[in-house]
Amino acid sequence: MIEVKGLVKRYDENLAVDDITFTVEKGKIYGFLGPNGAGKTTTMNIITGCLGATAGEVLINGHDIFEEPIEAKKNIGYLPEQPPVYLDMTPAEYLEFVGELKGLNKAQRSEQIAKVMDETQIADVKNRLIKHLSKGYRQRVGLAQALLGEPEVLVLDEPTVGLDPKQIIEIRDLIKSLGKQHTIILSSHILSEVSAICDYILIISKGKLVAADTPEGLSSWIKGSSSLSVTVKGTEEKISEALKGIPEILSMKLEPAQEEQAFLLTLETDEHVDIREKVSLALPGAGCPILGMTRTTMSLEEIFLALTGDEKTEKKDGENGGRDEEEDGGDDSGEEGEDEEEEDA
Amino acid sequence: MNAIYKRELRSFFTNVLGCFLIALMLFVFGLFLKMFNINNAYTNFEYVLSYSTFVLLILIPLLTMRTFSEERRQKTDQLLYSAPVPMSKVVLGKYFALLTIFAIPLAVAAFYPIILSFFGKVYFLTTYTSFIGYFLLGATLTSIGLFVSTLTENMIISALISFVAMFMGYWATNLSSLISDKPSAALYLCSALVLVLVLVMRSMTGNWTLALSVGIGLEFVVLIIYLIFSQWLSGVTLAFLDWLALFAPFSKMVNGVFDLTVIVYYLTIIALFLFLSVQSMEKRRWS
Repeated sequence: MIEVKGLVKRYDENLAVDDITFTVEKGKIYGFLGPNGAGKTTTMNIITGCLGATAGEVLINGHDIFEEPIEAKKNIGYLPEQPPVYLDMTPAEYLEFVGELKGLNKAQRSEQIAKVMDETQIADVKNRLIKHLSKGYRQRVGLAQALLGEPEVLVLDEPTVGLDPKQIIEIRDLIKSLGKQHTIILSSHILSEVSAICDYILIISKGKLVAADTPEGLSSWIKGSSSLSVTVKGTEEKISEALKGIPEILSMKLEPAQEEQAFLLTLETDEHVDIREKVSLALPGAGCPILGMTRTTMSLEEIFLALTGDEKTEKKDGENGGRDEEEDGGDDSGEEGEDEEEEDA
Repeated sequence: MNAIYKRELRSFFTNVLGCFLIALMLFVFGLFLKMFNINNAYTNFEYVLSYSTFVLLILIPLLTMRTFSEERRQKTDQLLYSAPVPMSKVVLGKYFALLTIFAIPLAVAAFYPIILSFFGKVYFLTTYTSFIGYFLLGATLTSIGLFVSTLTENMIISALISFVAMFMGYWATNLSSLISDKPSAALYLCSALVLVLVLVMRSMTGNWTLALSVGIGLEFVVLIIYLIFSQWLSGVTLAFLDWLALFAPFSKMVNGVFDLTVIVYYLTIIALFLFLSVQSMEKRRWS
């Protein structure tokens, strides 16, 4: 379907895309995941023929995007991050224009436009000027545009960015249903989105492809440990005494919890070792009632941060529990959001 | 190409600009018709065309300023880049749409000589030759404005640069009488051209070292010619100004000379700037 080989894009000194190679198979939803500025948009722009590459090859259904751009582009529908809509047109006029641009004849146009309007549910606004439509509707018009010409591949760059939660859910459902007939490549910096929609995840960091696997398979890319958080009542001596009998515990940490006389206990074990039963018997046996217990395994978030990590996240690799990192993740995306805007300008 | 043409044409009529430009042109024609033909009782409409060329300096930049600048600003150029259409067709589609807008007031004005013929003798051949010349002149300026609009996403800057470029073409004829044709003038001119070339090369290749070394090399050649074969340089300034004087060939046609070289001159410039527009758009894809 799509073959990308040794793709490199260099801007003066910066390598925006650094030797990326992957293959996209028919009928699956692929997710490009990476922090902002990692090279997702650049890669997608190259695949769709909007941008030239410094080196490398992109084959769409056997057509080289640089050598036979016209043939290759017929197989692709592209929705850039900002939907490429003309504000002074209505969706109906706009789709008519794009249909003609993609070389559809009159009969094909009227049939396909009705179909894509139905799929993206924009029929009720088709005669309003696009400048009066909300961001969610503009996104749908952009998506409808990408669907015209019945391309086998849809490339969607950050399809849910800037939408409200309800619109996000609607667009996600739409993408999922489109995934039944099309091969879809979408990009996102939101992990939960990619893991919810995609069959296959490609993680990009600083222009490099760092991991490519199914959401379930990704955890095997890094070795980790699992940890158990227990809120327990009692004294420090009693608790440590009670846990001495459990050999699987690699390390333990005891912090005062919010409740009085209670402690937050974090226990580290090897991966896939479950000590919940032992702990739940040992602690009350020593007179320390358990108030709560949670088991944390390596989440996709942690995998993502470990793979795309900078110093902040690298030091963790199995030393701390999960919660801190999740907070770090939140900060990261905020900071880097600004970076990308600068880059775009 | 058809799709681009229709969309571009429509966009002129969904905002006021298209109607305004057509009205402006018709107003100027009407005003001059009153001044020359009615007040002075001449039947020669070609004088109206000839005197109203300065309006093109305002009209064409306004016509072309948003062509590609607006696409880039709204990020709709992504659609054009990812569509299965070669960039040359996109440029041509847009160019023909601009020409259509420009041709509308001319088509209306084409009836004026017929009306004038009721009141006296009209030299139709000269008049309509002038119309062809006027259209070619406008088409040439439009191709220049189109190219300028591929260079920036700001339509005000686009209009200003187009205006300056066209003003040079307008003024070059008058300028040649003010400027001496000594070899030293040619030296300054060539140096200025080398400087422009260096800047263009820098912006095209992004490489200062290359641009500067080529510039210094060329300047060296110019200096040697000036010092040793200075007689070669006399006449260069005037020849350059002649070449730059876009409006001058049109006045030939107004005087009733149907000169094929004039048509070739305009068509060559149009082809050159359309080619440059395609290259400029393609270059953005590759940088």
